[in-house]
Amino acid sequence: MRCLVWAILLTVFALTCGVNAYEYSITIVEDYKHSSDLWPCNVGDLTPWGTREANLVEEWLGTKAGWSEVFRHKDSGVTKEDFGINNTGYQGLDEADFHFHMGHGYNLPVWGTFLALWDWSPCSGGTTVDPSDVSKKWDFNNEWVLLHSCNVLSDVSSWGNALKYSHIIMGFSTTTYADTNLIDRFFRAAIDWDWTITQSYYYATTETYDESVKAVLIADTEDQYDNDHLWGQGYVSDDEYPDDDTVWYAEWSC
Amino acid sequence: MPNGRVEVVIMKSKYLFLSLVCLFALIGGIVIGSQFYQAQHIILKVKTPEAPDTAPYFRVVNREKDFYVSNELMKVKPSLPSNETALKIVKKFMLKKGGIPEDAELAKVERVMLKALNVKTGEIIRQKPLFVSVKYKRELNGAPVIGPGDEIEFAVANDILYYSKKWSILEYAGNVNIISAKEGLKLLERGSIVNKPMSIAFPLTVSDIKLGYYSDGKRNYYYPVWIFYCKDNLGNDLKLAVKAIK
Repeated sequence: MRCLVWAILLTVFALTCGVNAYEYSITIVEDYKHSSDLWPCNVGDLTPWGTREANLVEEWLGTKAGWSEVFRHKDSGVTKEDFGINNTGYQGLDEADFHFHMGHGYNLPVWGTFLALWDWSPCSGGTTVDPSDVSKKWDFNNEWVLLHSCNVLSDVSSWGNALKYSHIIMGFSTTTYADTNLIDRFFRAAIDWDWTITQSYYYATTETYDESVKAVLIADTEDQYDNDHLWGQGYVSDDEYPDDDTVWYAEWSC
Repeated sequence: MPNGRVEVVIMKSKYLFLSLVCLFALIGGIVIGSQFYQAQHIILKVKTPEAPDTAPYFRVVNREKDFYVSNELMKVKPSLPSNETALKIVKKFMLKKGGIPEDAELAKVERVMLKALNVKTGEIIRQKPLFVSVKYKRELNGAPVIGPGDEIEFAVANDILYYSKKWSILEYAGNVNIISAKEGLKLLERGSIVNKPMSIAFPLTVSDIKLGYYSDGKRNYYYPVWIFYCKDNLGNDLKLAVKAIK
C-alpha cells in the first residue's frame, strides 16, 4: 500500500514539475533536392541558415524558456502533414503552441502562394503546402506560427483562413533574407523583455531588414493582435469561438 | 554477303545515323536553350555606368546605438498625424539627440494600419491607424549605403512610439581598385550577391546601377559594392549588391 502511495506521488510530481506544458515544433528545408539544377529549374540552397535559425529557436524556447520540443524535421523529413493539414490523427504543427518554419516560399502566377518542400522545383513540381491545405485546419493546440519564407503572406485572406482557433501567423509578403538576428531579436523581445508577440515581431523585422522587405502579421482577433504574449511571459487572449471568418493584419516595410 | 542482309545493315545504319542526329539535336537544343534562359533571367533596362578606377573605403571606428520604445507601439490610435507633421515630430525629437546626421537621407514615410479582412470575400471591412513609419538611411560621399546596418527608424503617432538608431562612425581608410559595372553584372548573373535573398522570382528587371556600400552592422570596413536596383517578376523592389573591388 505504501509503495502504491509513493508511486502515485512520484507520478504526480513528474507530471507537474518535470514536464513543461508549453510546446514548440520546427520544420526547416535548407538543402533542396534541386538546388544545383540550372535556372530556371533550380531552387536556392539555404544551407546552413535553416539549421542555425532552428538552433536558436531551441536555445530560446527549449533551453531558456523551458518549453518542450514536439518535433524538429528537416529537408526530406518535412512533410505536408507537419503543417497541420489533418484534423484527426497526426496534426503536425497544430500539436504545439509555437511553430517555426524556414524554407522557400513563392507567389507565382496561376499557382498562387505556397511553401516549397524539399523535392519541389519550378520545372518538375513536387510537394508544396498551399493555403487551401491548411484552410480552417489550425484548431487544436497551436497559437502562433512564424513562417520565415518569402512572399507567402502576400495572400493574407488565403493564409488567414488557416486560423480557426490558432491566434497569429507571422511572415513576409516580399523576398526576405536568411538571418539568425530575426530569431534572436524576436525571442529576446518576447522572452527577456516580455513584449507582446506583435511588438516583438515589429522589433525583430525592422532591426534585421531594410525597407525593401515587407513583414506581415495576421491575427485571428484584434485582442490577440494587441495582447498576446508567449506563454509564461504575460497575458494570452482566448481562442476565437465561434470562428467569424475575419482576421486582423498589419503590413510594414522593414 | 547476300543482298537481303546488305539491305538490313544499310537500314540499321540509317536508323543509327538518324538516331544520332536526333540525339545531337536534342543535346544542342538543351544547351542552347539553357544558355538562352541564363541570358534572359536578368533584363537590363539601363546602360551600365562608367566605373571610376578607384573608390574610397572606410574603417569603422565606432558604432552608435540608441533606442527608445513606448508601450503604445503597435497599438491602435484614434488618428495619425500627416506625413509632414510626423517628420516635424521626428526632427523635434532628434534635436535632443544632436539632430539628424548630415549624411542621412530620408528613405521612407509610410502609414501603417491595422486592417480587418473577411477571409471569405477578401474584402477589407475596417481599418484602424497604428503609426507613421519614418526611416533615414546613410549616404557616404554621395553614394548610397544599403542594408540594415546604418539606419534611423521611427514609428510616430502624436509622439515617438519607437526610435532606433544604428550609425557607424567611419574614417577614410584608403582607395581600392574597382571592377566595371559589366563585370559586376556578371557576378550578379552568377549569384555572387553580398545580401543574398532567400529566393528571387526571376526574371529580374534592372532599372538602375550605382556604386555604393553595403552595411549590416557587423563589418569593420565598408568596401564599395555595385548596387543593382531591380524588380522581380512579382513587382517587388530589390536592391542587390555585389563586390566592386578588383
